[in-house]
Amino acid sequence: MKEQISIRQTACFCAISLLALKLIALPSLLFEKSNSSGLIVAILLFIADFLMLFLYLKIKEKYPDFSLYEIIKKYLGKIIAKIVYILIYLFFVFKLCMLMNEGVLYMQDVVDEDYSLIVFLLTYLPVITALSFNGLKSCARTCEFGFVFIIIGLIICLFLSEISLSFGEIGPLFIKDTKNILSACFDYNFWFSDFLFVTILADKIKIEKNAKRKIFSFVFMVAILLLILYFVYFRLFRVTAFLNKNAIADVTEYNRNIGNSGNIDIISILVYLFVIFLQGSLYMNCLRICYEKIFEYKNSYHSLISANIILILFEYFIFFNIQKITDFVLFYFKYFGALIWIIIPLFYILLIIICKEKKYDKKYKKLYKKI
Amino acid sequence: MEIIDKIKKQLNNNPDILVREIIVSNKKISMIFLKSTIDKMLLVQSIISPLIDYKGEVTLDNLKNEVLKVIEIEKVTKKDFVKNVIRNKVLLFVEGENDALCLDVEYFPTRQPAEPPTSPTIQGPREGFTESVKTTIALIRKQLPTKHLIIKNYFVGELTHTQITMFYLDNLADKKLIKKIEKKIKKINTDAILDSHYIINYLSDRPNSLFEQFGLTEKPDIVTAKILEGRVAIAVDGSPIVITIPFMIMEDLQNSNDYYTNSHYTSFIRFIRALGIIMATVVPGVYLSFRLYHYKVVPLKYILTINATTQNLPFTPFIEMLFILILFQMLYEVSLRLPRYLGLATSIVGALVLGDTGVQAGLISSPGIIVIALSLISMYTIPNQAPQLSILRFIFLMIGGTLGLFGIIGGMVYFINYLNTMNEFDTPNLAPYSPRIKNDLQDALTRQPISKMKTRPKVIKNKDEKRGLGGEK
Repeated sequence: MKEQISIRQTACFCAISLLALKLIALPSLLFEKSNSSGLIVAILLFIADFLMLFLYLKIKEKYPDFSLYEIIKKYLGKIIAKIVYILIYLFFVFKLCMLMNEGVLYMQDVVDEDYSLIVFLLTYLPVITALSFNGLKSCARTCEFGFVFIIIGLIICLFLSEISLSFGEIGPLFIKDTKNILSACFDYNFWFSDFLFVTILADKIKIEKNAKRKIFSFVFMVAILLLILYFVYFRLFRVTAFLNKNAIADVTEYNRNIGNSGNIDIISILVYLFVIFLQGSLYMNCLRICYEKIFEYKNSYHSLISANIILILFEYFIFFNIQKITDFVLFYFKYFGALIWIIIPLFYILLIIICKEKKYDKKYKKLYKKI
Repeated sequence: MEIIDKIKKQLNNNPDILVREIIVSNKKISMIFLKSTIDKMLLVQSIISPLIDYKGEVTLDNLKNEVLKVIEIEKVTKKDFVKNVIRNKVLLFVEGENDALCLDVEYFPTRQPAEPPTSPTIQGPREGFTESVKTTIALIRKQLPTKHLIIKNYFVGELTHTQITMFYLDNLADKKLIKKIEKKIKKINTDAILDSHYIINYLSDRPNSLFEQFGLTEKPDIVTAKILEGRVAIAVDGSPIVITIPFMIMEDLQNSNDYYTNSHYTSFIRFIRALGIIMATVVPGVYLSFRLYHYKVVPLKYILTINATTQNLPFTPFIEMLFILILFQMLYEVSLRLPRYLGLATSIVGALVLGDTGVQAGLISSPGIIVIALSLISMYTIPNQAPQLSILRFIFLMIGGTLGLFGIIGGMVYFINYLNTMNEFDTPNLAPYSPRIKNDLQDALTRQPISKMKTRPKVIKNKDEKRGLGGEK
């Protein structure tokens, strides 16, 4: 199979990326730092993420056959391209580690208190590796297949949680604390910057009509659902929100026994577990592609085995629990975020401004007009 | 005649080879054929009797044009003599001539088209294919009386020379698809083709795949509907099963009954079938994982009920579930293989006696039996996938018992991905859901009324997308 994915599949990837790391620990962290203004922090970071996505898609229109690597190589040289890709490789490794740690936390919290990291790794890594080995196209199709169920499940969870809120509780949302907003945005940038994968996969995304509109409709929908989740979460737990480290589980726990027919939170379990598998496979694909670019040869076995070894080493010996990786990210990794949040967008903006009427551009403008 | 002796020798002088000689107008006419595969009455009435009555000049051309009352006659040369005798034709020789006439009076005992046991219909046509490819051709011809219907024959198998017949509509089917199938059929190099399933392995790019990659049916109405969507159908002599290509897994959720009932009911029942797949595959595994690891997820009342029935069992939940599953699978296999009256008795002994006494003796629990029985029954909501679902049930039971719920979800994601890697004849297996093809959703998990289905499925490449405009021109 040719590794080409459709715009709808890209949109599903974007939407699931937006969900993956924001359902568990992020709301409590946001609340811990900026109290009830956490919602504003989330909105600001969402907006920043959307702007970046817009920029990535604009560059995709300009250079449809180029990924970030080819673009950097063309303008700044091979060595810089490789350095950037090594950093991006690390970024995805950390993201996957965070995803795995959140997964373990979730399993321990909701499903089984004794759930161990080893069992998690033994289950999770083979599956996402197999998905990545089968290729980006089948992975994108799997994501497209699961997306509908994930969204329906999430809507059901949120709806059931909403009805457990009494209307009297819905008051002014943004109460007092607004001073920490910007520093919170800086601290928690790692949990966002979800669309970086678009730059890595840009050359594999098909050119289609209304691409931006399609992608943005998906990500807006998911962002709204997430904001509803955060809203319900803040309203339910108020000042104790920072103690509830597992947002989706704690919110759905409120409707545990509706109609005395059983635990409704099984829906949220299914939604979350599907999300982390799909997101993990996307990150694994990104790691595979980065590896292939860095070492300039294609071998799925080598790239995936090395990614697995690195992940196991990081996860088992360095970030063995959620607190460890959260601390690491909050102390060190937020500076690394500058690469994703400032340098790459700046480079892209410069490309858009400077290379306005290149021959290359004209050729693809014609192609777009045809579509 | 020397040539007759040679043919007999080449056919090892088998006892069913018969040579009949007649003298007509002072010339010897010899016939050689396999007596077991010809219609004797027809032979007498349309060949022997006219020959005896004939008084004119005896040449092969005269006999062909004026005497013999057979529909299919052809003049054949020496190199085709043996081949035609093997293919159940009568070879007629005239003294002094080198060639022969090949006459078709073939007869095989065949059964009449009847309702296929694998797909009974409540309110639709009850005809089914038989083992004879001639019947298959006739039934499809009856349903598709159009000049666009193309029928191509191939003979495959060094020893069996099995007839494989391909059907398609030349104004709809994709040329590339036809060429690809033809190429694969011509490449088949084997001794024998005894059934449709034999050639599936040769047609598939991934013969080791767990899931079905070809549509299989015994009903002419289904084959016709699929040909009308631009698909290609392949019938094999000796098999009542017709293969349709390309195939998507969604087709197994569909049933011919669906098109003869209300579209709302059809949509509802297809959801039930989809639910059946989940029940058949993952429910035993999920139940086991809940009992072993994730009892927190189960409501308290159910935990108490399950606990009351399982606390004195001698086996671990994993062994217990495995035991029940193997027991039920054995009973299922036995009931399929035994004669009907014995199968019924075995079912009673197995299901009632073993199950009931097993529970009363405290060896197995009733929730375990209920879960496995539910899973087995659900499997038959889509009978075409029953073997695959049985394997998946075992796999998910193992995963549930070892890795728990997380493993089951991982397994589900993996198998969905596996289905997505299947792209036989450039058709995605999980279409129209992944990739999503909006147009094709009109007849997928839900179904629109037939009058509203104005286009053919886009996932199948065909020359004319609109229904109704591309017919007879």
